[in-house]
Amino acid sequence: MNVRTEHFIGDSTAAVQNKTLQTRLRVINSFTVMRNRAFADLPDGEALRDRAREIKEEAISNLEFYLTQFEENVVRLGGTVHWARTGEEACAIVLDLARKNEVKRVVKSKSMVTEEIELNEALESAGIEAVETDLGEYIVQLAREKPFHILAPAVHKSRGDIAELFAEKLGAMNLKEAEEMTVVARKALREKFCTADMGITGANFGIADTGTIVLVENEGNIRLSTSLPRIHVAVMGIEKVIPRLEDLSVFLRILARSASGQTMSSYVSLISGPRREGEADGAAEFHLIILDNGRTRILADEEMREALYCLRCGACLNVCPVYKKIGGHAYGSVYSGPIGSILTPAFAGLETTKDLPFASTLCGACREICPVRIDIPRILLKLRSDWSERKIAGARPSLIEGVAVRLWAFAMRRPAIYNFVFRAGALLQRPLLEDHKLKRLPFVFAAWTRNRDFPALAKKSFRETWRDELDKKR
Amino acid sequence: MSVADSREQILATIRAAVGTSVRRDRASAPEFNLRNSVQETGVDLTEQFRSEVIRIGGRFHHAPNGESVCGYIEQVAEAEGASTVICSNAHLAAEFGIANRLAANGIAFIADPTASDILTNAARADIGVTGVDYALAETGSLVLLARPGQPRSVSLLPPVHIALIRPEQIIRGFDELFELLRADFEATGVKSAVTFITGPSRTADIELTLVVGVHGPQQLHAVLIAGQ
Repeated sequence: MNVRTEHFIGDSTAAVQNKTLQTRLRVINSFTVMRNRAFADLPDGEALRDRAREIKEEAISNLEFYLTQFEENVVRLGGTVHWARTGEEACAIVLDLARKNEVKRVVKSKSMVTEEIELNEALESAGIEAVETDLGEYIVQLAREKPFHILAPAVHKSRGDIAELFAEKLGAMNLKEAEEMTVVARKALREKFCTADMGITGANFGIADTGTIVLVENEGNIRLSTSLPRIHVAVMGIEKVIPRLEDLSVFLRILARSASGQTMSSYVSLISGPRREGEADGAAEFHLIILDNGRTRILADEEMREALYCLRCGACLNVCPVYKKIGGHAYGSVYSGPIGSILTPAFAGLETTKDLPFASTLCGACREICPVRIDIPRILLKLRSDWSERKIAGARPSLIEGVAVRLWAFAMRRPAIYNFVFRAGALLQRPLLEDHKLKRLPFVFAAWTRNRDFPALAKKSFRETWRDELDKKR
Repeated sequence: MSVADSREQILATIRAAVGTSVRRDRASAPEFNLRNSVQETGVDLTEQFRSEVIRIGGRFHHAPNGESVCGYIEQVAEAEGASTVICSNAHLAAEFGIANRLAANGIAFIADPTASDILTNAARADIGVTGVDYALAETGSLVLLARPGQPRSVSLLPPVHIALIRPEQIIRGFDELFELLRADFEATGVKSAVTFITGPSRTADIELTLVVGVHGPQQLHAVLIAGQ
């Protein structure tokens, strides 16, 4: 997976200073408001989340069985199953299918996994037109950008931005309202749907015991992608398999609620193999690509494993104080936000992405909102420690930080020294104080205050206050 | 590296990571009984279905007889200035005499499209009329199973979808649905597509402003055919 996460510090700093972006980011909060409202109306929501986690745990710890059962059922229904160890292998399989079938145009529905393997780029360089059909993805594709948010890829763009883009790329002038823009996109894309030779989708779930892929959406572009073109190719990560059809009653109740605050998304499609004899529409050929691309690395690490339970709902992005400040692009990867800070290092290696696990306040909001209760902060801490304690190849922890932390640990264990240091600090900070805050720290500490204030050290320490109050009571 | 090698390698890596799988069938699956809101409350299913359909932006019409069904379709066609109506499940159309009624109004009626003409016909139709297999009170969802005579495009390509529902097709929710689907799959095979339709097509991709009617229908009409 190609990332530009090595530029994280610069990109995130620029994002924080970008006033337009900061305004756009304010809308993100409304996702959480809607999510909370939707869960409040769901009796046993907490029990459902527990159950969803149990099901994922069961599937992941018996992955070989469920994957092969899934494969067997897809094949029995007339589908073809391909296995890809890497993104390149998956792209090669799609290109091979496209060549054999003389495919000139592909319609794609929003799928994180095809973004991850950069399938569009592969198709384009083979001379095949690949059209993103989800409205947000379409906008992002026209702008030649990457999705900003798992659920709302173009949420960083204003209506004005999109009007300009549509004028330039589609020749649609003077668009003002979201409705008008949607109509323009619908017309442009309807034409593509009706003339495409292949539809490519991801999969939200793969049901092992029926050989079914499940696709969840609101717009109808996934239904079109799977119903009109002659060939349907679904790309699915190994972790998406669930054991039973009945398990869907758990996941369907929590997925849309977590993602968009809907009780149910407009469309859910359960696709099992190609169209049967006598059916008038639906793809005549169904191909499923089961993709590893670094997932088995997560699987092999017991401390990381639960990251594979992720449903890609995006709820953790919406509550994350870091994401809400820097937005999706700064992460330099298709997977952003708290879960992205785990997935991106796992897929692309920690060496170029090590800033991500550190870019967290560890506040725990992501863990609380996650529908399958992934302990994201714990995994981020583990990645930090892997880096700092050189448990992974290529780790180059900061020497200054190492010394600072060791000094801190030394002082923490010696109350007299600790107290002395902080009393001295409380005195020495005086010339630096502005509005009772430290806005510019000197020397090696300067980085700390580049984008934030450091609270002033209190005149009286907590321990002193505690002691004095106790004295008063006596 | 061949595909077979990739498969073996992935499976071997999985085995090395988590060990050999336990083979489970459905009977040995852990029990899980949820207190389902819908099962517990004594709310009338039809009433709950109606209110959910409206809540999610659909329209609900109660048709006590065939005449009322035809009248409603006519009314929608007129309001939308429709010139072509496409219909799956032709027996429905035949039963209510929809074709003649529309013809009398100068509206073309296409019943039971085939593989060769469905794309053109569904794409030019202004209204798609379908039956349903199930209707869920829990969410106001319509569930349609793809099969000969019930293609996917009729409820998808036209800007207006009218679904005709019989009272016995309304069930509580997901738990009951998956039981019924399982039984159906075991009796007559897994269906190529099961589609859940919950309200009209929608998006909030531009500034999180809700826009109804993107790629799928802008209007969803749930018509319940039941005598009173």
